[in-house]
This record gives sequence, C-alpha cells and structure tokens, in this order.
Amino acid sequence: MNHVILVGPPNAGKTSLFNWITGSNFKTVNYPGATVNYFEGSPLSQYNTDFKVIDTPGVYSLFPKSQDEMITHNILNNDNPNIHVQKAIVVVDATQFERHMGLFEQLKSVKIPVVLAITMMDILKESGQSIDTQALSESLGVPVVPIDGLLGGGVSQLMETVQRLEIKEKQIEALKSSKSKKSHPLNQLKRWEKKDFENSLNNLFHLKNKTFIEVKTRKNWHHLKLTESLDRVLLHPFFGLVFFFLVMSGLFTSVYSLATPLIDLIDGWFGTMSTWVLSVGGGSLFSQFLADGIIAGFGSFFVFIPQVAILFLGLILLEDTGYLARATTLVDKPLSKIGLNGRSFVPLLSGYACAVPASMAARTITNKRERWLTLFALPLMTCSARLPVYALLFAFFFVGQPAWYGGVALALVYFLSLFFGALFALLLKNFLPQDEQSLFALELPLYRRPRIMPVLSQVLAKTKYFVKKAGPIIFTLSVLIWAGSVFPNYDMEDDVKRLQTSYISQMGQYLEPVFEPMGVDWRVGVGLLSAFAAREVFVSALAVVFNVTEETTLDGGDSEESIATTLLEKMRTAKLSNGQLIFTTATIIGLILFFMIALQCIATVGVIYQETESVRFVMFQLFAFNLIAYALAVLVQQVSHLI
Amino acid sequence: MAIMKLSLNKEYEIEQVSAEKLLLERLQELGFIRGQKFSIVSKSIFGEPFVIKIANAKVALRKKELSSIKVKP
Repeated sequence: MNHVILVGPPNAGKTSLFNWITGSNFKTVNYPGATVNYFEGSPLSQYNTDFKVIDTPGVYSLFPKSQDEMITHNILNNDNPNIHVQKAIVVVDATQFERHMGLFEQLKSVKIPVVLAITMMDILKESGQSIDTQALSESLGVPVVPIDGLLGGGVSQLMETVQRLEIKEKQIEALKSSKSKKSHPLNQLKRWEKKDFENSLNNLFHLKNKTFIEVKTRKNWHHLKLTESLDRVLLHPFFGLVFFFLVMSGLFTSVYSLATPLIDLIDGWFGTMSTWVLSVGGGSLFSQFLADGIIAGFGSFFVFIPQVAILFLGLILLEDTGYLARATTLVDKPLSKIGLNGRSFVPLLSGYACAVPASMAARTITNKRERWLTLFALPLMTCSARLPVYALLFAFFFVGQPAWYGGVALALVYFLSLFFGALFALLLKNFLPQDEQSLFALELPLYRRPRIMPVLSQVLAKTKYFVKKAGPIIFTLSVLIWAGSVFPNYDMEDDVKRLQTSYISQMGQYLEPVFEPMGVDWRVGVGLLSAFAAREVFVSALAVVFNVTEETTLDGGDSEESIATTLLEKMRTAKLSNGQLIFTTATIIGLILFFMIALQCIATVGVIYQETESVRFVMFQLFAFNLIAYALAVLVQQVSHLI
Repeated sequence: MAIMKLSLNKEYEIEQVSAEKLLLERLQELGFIRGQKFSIVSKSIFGEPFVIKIANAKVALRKKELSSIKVKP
C-alpha cells in the first residue's frame, strides 16, 4: 500500500484534517527504534482512494531539531520498510500563510509530488481577506485545495486531487533511489543554505503582496481579538501566575474527583470477578491462580487507567485550547535555573499520571542535557500508583481526624516531590555535559475551542501506550508475586502458615537485616519487594502478610473499607520480634519518603532506557534513587531513636 | 539598535538575525527574517521569556534568543 504523508507546521490543523480524511478509522503506530507514535489511517471509503494517510508530528522545516521532528524527517526519508511515501499533502494555515510556506518550498525542492492544503480559510475570511487559490496554484505549479477549518469542507476535493496527482518519471526515480541514502532527495536539502531559506521566504512575501491574498478590508478578526484580550490577562506578569496556579489546582482536583468513582468501579468489578471464580472453582489451586493471580494481575494495572486517561484528557484539552504553550512559557525561567526547559513542564506534569507515557512527551525538548534531566526528575513526580500507598500511610496518622488533614498532607507530598525533582535535576546538572545550545523559541497558538476527535484520539493513544508498555510488566510481576506467596506449600490448609513458609516470606526473612534499619520487619519488607510490580501492590501485599482476609475483617465484610480498616488495626498493633511497635511515626514518615524517591517501577525504567538509549544513565538512576530512598528512611528511623 | 532597549508594544522592523545555526534556523522558521515587522507584547514575571507578535502569530523568546535579532533604528 502506498502512503500519502501529511506534513505541516505545528497547529496548522493537520490533525483535524487527518480526522476528517479517515473518520476515526486510524491506528497509532510505533516507529521502530523510537517510542514515537505516528498515526496511520485509510481515507473514508466514499473518497475512493488507493492509499493510506500518515499524520506526522508538526515541523517548521525539513531540518529536524528535536526527536519528534526527526520522525517526520525519517518517514519522508522512507526509513521504515513498512512505509512507502509517494505523495505529500502540505498543510498550511491560511492566517499564517507567509511563515508556513517555507516548509512547502523545501518539500518542493525534494521533488516529491505535493498538494497544498490551506486550512483555516474560514478564519481568514473573517478578517476580510481571502487567498486566490487558483492564481496561487498556477504560480506554484502544484494543486491548491482550500479546507474549511470549521466544517471540513474541501476534504473530498483534496482526496480527489491527491488520487489524481501524477508522479513524474524523475520523481519515481528519485523515490526509488531512496534506499541508497546519498542520492535520496532529502539529502539535496543539505545544499540549502540559510540564505536560501531567507530568500525563499522573501520571494514568498513578494508573491503574496502581488496577487494571492486579496485584502478587502483589513480588520482584526474575532480569533485574534479574542487571543489578544485573553493574553492580556493570561500572560500578565501577576494575574498570569495566579491563573496558572488556579488552572493547575483545578486540573488535579477535578482529575481525582472524576477518577475516584471509576477506580472504585473497576476495583469492584475485578473483586467480584475473582470472588466468583474462586467460588466456582471451589478454591482449587487453579481457581486461585485465575482469581488471585491472573484476574488480580489484570486488575492491578486496569485501576490506573481512569486516572491516567483523565489527567491526559485534561492536559490535552489544555494543550488544544492553546493555554499549555502559555504555561510552558511561564515556567521556562524557573525550570531553566535547574537545568531544565519550559518544555519539560508537560512531561513533568504528565508524570503525575504515569511516568511511562510521560517520558514520551520529553521528545519535544531539543537539548539533550535538558531532555535527560527531565527524564531523570520525571519518576519523582507523584504518579497515580503511589496514591493508594499514601492513602494507607496517611490514614495511619489521621484516623478520626477531619478529611482535609489527608488532603493537606497529600498537597505537601506533591510539593515535596517537585522539590525533590528540582533538587535531583540540580545535582545531576553539573555532571552532564552541555554540548548543545539550549533552545526555547516557542510558538503560542491562537486560543480556540478544543476539537473533540483529535483530543480523544490523543488520549486514547497515550492510554494505549501506557497499557502496552506498563501492562505486561505489572501483570507478570503481579502473577509472580502471587506464585511466590503460594508456593511451595500450596496444598497447606492454613493460609497463614502457607504464606509464612512461602518463597516470598522466605525471601523477606532472608532480607530482613536489610529492612531492619528502616525499623520494619520482613512482612513490610515483602510489601516493599512486591511494590516493584506496581507501587500500589504494597497495600494489597501488606494485607496478605498481615493476614487480613474476608474472614478476619473486624466487621466480617469484604469491602475495600473494611479490609483497609482491619489492615490499619493490625498495623497499629504489629510488633517487631523485640516487642517494639513497627509502625511508629518515624517508620511511617520513613516509608512515605521511601515511596517518594524509590524507583520501583520497572516499566518506567524500561521506557527511560528507550528514550535515552543509555544503560549507564538508567542504571545510575535506578541505583541512586533506590539507595537515596533507603538511606532517607533509615536516617529518619535512626534519628528518632536518638531523640 | 540593541534589542534590550526596545519598548513594549512598539513595532520594529528586523534588519538582521545573527545566531548559531540551530537558533538561527528556528527563528527563521518562526518568521524572523529580514524586513519582517514585530512587536514585543509582554514579558514574564521572571524577566523572560518575552512574548512577541510577528505577522499573525505569537512567539515566546528568551532574552538571549531575542537579542540575536537586530532591528532597524
């Protein structure tokens, strides 16, 4: 199947156009060798085409400056054996016509057959201007199709034009030779000097002044006026900052209030399912394997989906309105002080959902050191898997206290995680060479209403990426931990004895000297080891080792709450072998600090390796984080003994 | 004319852009080329970046990035 590639600058309306062309019939494809996705889809059948369309990350030119821009470059380069790009649709924004045409000029010199699609024609019309597409087409020598940015008018004409577009002999040769790198048309671009770039743009400016843009009445159009007045507040030195904090706190509170009922629902489903399987199977080993191993394993990463998806929904909505670019601008200065970039903001913020898909967002950072430092600090952000752990540990402190105590404590942990992130980045900053220029130069798009389909498709893509990358690891480790807690004495009648003689307990007991300085015994050690599947598994593992079962809950119920309350009660009275209480204030604070810093998530480690392709970096991060986390927990415990 | 002496909300014409390759290319891509007019709209509370209005677009530039642009007096 031949491919038609959509190329255009960021915010030119490429993704909207792609959605109109394909309906919602597209898939995300992982680009081999990189974690980057691009979208591939077939045009709706009504268009009668024989090609597939690829949507690529936005680029301003064919000289890539960041990893995501590199993808567009590579696809054009036919780097991927599964893609054969034959034609290109260059998407430019009518209101940014002059600036966007530079990309078109470059693509034309590559000699790939091109159709020019001009979007946002409706917005241009608002301002009393219009583009004479016929004259433009004659002058440029390529077909030009106007697209109505609001209704998607012009898409069928565009598809027809692309289908009819002939590939000239020369172009076929050029494309055929694409396998041998040297003769590839893209390499001809190397001859483009900065003067050419400027000249080509200058020529275009003159062209424009000649005929193409007809100015009937020049007035500020609605969109620009709206943007101007919004920016007077949102970019205001003081009110802009206030608004920023309002938006961020609004984002987080709404994420949790929206996600919590969904999480409970999913948790409930998996609970019911495993109870049912256990009762049908009569408690046989196989039914236990299905219920406590497989189903619980699936459940342990499915519960993250609501929070991950909803936070990404919020983020992508903010991005689509144009606000996120403003927020990025606002935080650039503070972030650059610690060796990061304003562009680190989105990945770090995404890290509050899950570090796995968040790592991808660091690809927009041009500078290698800034990207690596962002990836270094990223796992310290309070991801959704940590919340059940904090909820349990806070409950220990605040039982019987008003609910807002826990809220304040959580907010404190959030800020502290930012502080640790900044501190760690600052510490590593001087050890990484700064051999590239730091670049910010960010375009702030006009404000607009978010477009539902592109937003949803991005949320879906990010969530899918999470499920694909983190799912298998969390699932496998969960099943392994289940097996470790059941074998070797799987046929023992007494559940407690079975657990105490299990492999995982043996391992916990063997490693007890390691956990002892933290003030905890092997049981908590088992919980900490289990947290390597996913941090929240700590809670369910503790429930297992402290022998909280349905029969042993205080009120005989098997609901989440009664298990949690019972676990808390058991924790309150749990003693070390020397008779001292395990869960003292120092222990709990130590555990909170441990969970804030420790890098237990294997999926994150894997993704950061993919993004940096450096074993040394990832190993350093893994050992440093876990050692520091351990040392802090030990420190808190030991200091408490002195007082 | 040195860029740091420029005042807010006044229109300037670009005389020349001189920077290292990476920045120069990005600035050109964003529309900062000779003859183009722009104005500085606002400045962040932390002193930078600046928000620039150029053609119909808005671009945020750091102090260093902005100072690579020379304007006509």
